[in-house]
Amino acid sequence: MRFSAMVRRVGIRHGLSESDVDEVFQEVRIRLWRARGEGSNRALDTLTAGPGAGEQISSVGSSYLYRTAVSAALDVLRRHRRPREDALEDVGHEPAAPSRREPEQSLESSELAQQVARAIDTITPSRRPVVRMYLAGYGREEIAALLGWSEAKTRNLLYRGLADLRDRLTEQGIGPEAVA
Amino acid sequence: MTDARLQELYREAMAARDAAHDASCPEPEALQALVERDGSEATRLATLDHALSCRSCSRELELLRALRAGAPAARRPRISTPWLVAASVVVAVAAGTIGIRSMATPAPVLRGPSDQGVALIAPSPNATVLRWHAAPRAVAYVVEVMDAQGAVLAADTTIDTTFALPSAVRTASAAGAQWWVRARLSDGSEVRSAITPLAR
Repeated sequence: MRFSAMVRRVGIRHGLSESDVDEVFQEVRIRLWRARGEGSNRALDTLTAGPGAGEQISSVGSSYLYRTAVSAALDVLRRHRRPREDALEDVGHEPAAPSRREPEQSLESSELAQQVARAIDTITPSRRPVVRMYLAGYGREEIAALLGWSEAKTRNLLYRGLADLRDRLTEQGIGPEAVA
Repeated sequence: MTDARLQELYREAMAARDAAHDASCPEPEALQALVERDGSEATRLATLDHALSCRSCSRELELLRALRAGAPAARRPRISTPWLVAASVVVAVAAGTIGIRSMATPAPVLRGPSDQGVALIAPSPNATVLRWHAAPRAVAYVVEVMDAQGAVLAADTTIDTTFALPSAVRTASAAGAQWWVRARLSDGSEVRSAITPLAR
């Protein structure tokens, strides 16, 4: 599987858009073409060739390709962070989701969501990021991989963090029956 | 409240937040350090905590995380050659001989540091946890504690960079116990630390 396709597959599960990935890999292609005379043909082939090509690359080529992609991504992110008046060309990003919710039911749900968010802010700092990742849809393996933790440590902190969260919500009068 | 309901409410709360960066947002390099596991765990947790509570930063983090996860060097090579079969047999035999948690099997194991090995962190005199620095591209670590004769007192395989010393081993550490760590890399190769005295 191509590098870019793999990144899409991994990232889109957690809300990354095609345009985010496309913009980065367009930047990568430009950089690799510019450096082509310096011996990066193999990296370029890895980026653009069909399924299976990635298995044949050497670790040096893979490492070079990854570093190029990270460098390109960091530049893209910096570009997107410029003041808004300069950001009209940032066509890849979607506008913020509208937060207006007229119906009464949505208001209640929205208030409950904010109470959950505030309750998370009060969890022990060592457990809070794990809870946030889990609630954002990341699996335990993904959390463990990002933090360099064992599966057992991740499971333990997540279990305790969720218990903390439910305790905080119960203190606010939000019990198991809260289904909004 | 069920986990599914909490997830639903959390996503709703995040979607309602402003998508713009503010002064508290970490630099892109800090997000990359988180992905690469560079820096202290406390710093990385603080960065992650912010990133996940900020719509813009969480999107940026996901882009960098996906690059890392999708990078060819970060994946195990899918090689279906006889070498893989042979390597599997060697690993299986070695695991069976040594025993992942075996306490006293004096098996003949080649031990010694590789050129770019794992850097151990010297434990304090009464340490209950052994620590070492993460090796680039490591997918797992094998830590072994041996007595003065080289017999394995304790061993474990972990993706973490810490190992909790069993109490029996702590008692034995005064009698010349040693330890070392081998890192298994994403390309199937291995790097090793030097064998180091447990108590200094």
